[in-house]
Amino acid sequence: MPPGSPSDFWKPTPIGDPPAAREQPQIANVTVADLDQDGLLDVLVCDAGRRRLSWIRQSPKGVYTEQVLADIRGPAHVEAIDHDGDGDLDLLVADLGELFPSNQRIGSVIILENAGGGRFIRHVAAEGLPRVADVRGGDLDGDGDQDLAVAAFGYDQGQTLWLENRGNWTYVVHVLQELSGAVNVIVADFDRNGTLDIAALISQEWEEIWIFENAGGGRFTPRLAWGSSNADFGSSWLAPVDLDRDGDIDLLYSNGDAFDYAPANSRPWHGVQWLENLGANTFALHRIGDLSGASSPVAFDADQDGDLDVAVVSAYNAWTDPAALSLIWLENNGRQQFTMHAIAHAPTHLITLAAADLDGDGAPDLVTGGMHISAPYDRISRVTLWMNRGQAR
Amino acid sequence: MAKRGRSEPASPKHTQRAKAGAALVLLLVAGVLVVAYRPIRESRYRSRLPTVPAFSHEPAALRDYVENADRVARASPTSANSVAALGVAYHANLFYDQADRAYALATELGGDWRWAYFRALVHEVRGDAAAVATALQDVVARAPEFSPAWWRLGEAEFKLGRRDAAIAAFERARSLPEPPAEPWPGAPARKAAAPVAAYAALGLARAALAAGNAEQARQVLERVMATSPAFGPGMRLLATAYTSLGRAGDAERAVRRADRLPGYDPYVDPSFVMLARESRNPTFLLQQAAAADAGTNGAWREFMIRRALELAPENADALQELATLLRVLRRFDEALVLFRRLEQRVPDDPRIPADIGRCLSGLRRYDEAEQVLRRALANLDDANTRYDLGLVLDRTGRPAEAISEYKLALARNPTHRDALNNLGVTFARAGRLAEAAAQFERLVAADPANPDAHTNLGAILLSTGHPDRAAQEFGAALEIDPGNTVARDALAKTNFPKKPADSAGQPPSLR
Repeated sequence: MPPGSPSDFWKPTPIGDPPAAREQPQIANVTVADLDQDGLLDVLVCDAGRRRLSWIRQSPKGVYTEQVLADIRGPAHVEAIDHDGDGDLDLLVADLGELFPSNQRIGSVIILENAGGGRFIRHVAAEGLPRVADVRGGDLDGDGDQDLAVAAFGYDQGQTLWLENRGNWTYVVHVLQELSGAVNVIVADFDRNGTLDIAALISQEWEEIWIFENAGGGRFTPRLAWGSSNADFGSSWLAPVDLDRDGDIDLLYSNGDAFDYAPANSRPWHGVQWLENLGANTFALHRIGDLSGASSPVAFDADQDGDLDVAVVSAYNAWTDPAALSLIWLENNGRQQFTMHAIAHAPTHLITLAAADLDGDGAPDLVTGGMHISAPYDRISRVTLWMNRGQAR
Repeated sequence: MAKRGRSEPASPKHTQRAKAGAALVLLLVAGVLVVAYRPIRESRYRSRLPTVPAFSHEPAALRDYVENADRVARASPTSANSVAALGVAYHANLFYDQADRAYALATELGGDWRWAYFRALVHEVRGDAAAVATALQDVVARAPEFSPAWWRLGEAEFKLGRRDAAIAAFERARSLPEPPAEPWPGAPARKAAAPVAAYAALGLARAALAAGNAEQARQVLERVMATSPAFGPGMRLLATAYTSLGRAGDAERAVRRADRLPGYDPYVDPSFVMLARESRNPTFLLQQAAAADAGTNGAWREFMIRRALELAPENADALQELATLLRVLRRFDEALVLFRRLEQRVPDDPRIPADIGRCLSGLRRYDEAEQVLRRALANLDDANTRYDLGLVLDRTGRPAEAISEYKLALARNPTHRDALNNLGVTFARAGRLAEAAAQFERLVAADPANPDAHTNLGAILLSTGHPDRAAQEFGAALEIDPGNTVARDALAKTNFPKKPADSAGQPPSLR
């Protein structure tokens, strides 16, 4: 569909610690969760530049204060989930070991056990892995405890794995696939057979989405759900969502990675699509928007009209062109046909995005993080809150 | 004169004249139709040509080239070649929607099968595997000997989950010869990382692995590695096959070999050389440069980047790429000039002073290098810059300071290979052999495919009276690199080890 008018109802506000003098922030991931369960949503930040996981706590309402939770060499993703079943939120952290490409087995899976009172106990679930880009929790073998699905990106050598929880913070590693470039793993019952499957987004030269069908008891069968024969497609993010609200889990998928060669921008094939779940782990791809550098799409009802819209950031765009966009949203007309609306041209280099109603006004807000690893460096940000002023309709 | 009645037959002469008149009229009508139809047909095709896009920041040469191709196509809109040339102009300059339309029209006009192939390449870039497969099925029917089309068809079919069709296409690609090179006078030859048959074998092995048939994958890959021993992706997938077969030792050895081979480079058939020749787009040219491994295609890579720079002399990405390539090729003086130019263009990029320091160090201008690297560290305190400063301090006879910097590098990246190696060497030179051994142990753990790491560790072990363990390390080095003369000579010495006391104060010979 043709582009729509720009949207001016998003009010950006930097939150957390500002960038230090001459710092070029490298925020790999932001996640929204009420970590201290005080009724106010907080923001968790994987800061690969400062090599730490931090917590931007909202307390009192509208006041955001950042504190360090853990030093981690290459934090790539964090999921807040009650891993040990004690009622509070623990943190599953994917540790690349090093942000930049490496074949060394420097990746690890770290769990920060919530001990209450803002204290966290560090457990290393697995280490010596190819660089780990994502870890998600779910009971994969049906034994009642929570296991872990792991995307070990590596570089030339990578893996998709699951870690079987054997209790007492010990895990047994099971390799599902030996392909480099695993970006995301999603744990969901895609085929609605009562067991949790794993979807893995594989980038590098493969550019594929695999579903590991769970036959129960942790027995998985790989199935190629979608693939591109463009080895430079730039797969960047995969997220689960029932976009068409038909009761099954679809996938929201962006291709916008341009980190592999210069110029890190201007790939006209980059954009956003969703994979419609057709049942039996088959999917149909639908392109919904073009955006160079597209990353981290999230589905949310931006305009409060009852259907799911999509917001996307751009990490790699032609930033010397003032018209290059860093944040857009795609308005759903209710039939999964989307109209693109510009939100922002700056800050640039936004690689991560989360959506949630942080101020409790009923309208979902956005949180973004900046990954400034290429020029220009004149419109930088660490973490930005985009307040939805509710004028979408 | 009596009038001739209606039933009166016409004279033969009159009939002839009437027929001739009718024929003339018909001819005239046909002529008029032909004359009128041609512009109507042309107008119809002209209206289907893509609209020239609104240019913004593209180089003038690109705009001129595309606009000229558009003019030619509009002048001859029913000429398949003119319309296809317009498609190439768009394709080579990253206007895929327009290229798609032009190629479709050229194919409809009865053009060469190549335009259908080029259209498939456009579908491929946009990630539409179904369209790729449909287009290529037509191409291989018209050009059954063109191996790249079969290989691409196999890839598309695999992505669509049509395994049998993929296997059939890969098998066909594997059986066909390489296509002839695209001529480009004055340009360095673009060498394929491996023949298309090797890529087809990779596809076959993937299909076998996806079906759970690791043994078949192993057989296919072992054969291809015998004929294309430098094909890194093949060796890496072979490791996966070995792992699936429970052959952990073979898998580990295959990974080590793969680590020493080039990574995945996309197969570049002659069509891409043609597109590169026709491109005026710096991004496309830099993309082609990046797809060429510097070891195999360094001259081509440099040629592509320089073409990009000719089109956009102040393009910071192109400057950065060329400067980095020249530094990697150890042409430090040329690289230095470019990095300094780049620093003017992007003064806030903290990596550029570090690169300037590296070039100065490579030119042995150590005093200047130290100054620049210390300045760089103020804004980019990372492992590489600390390592580079350590190297400069080492080379200027300040081992204690060098050790300090190497340690700082390792604090930032505990598996920094060069820092681990140089720290080990510096310790060894200072006679601190236990500390040197510890560093080399760490290096071997971090980089097991590095024969020098094994050789250096072996040398230390030999010097400290551990000939058996030393022999193991030399053996490991030789397994990775059978031509490693240092390891071979050292291995011979393990049969006559010195006592530890003999070597006291005598640092071992290290790489």
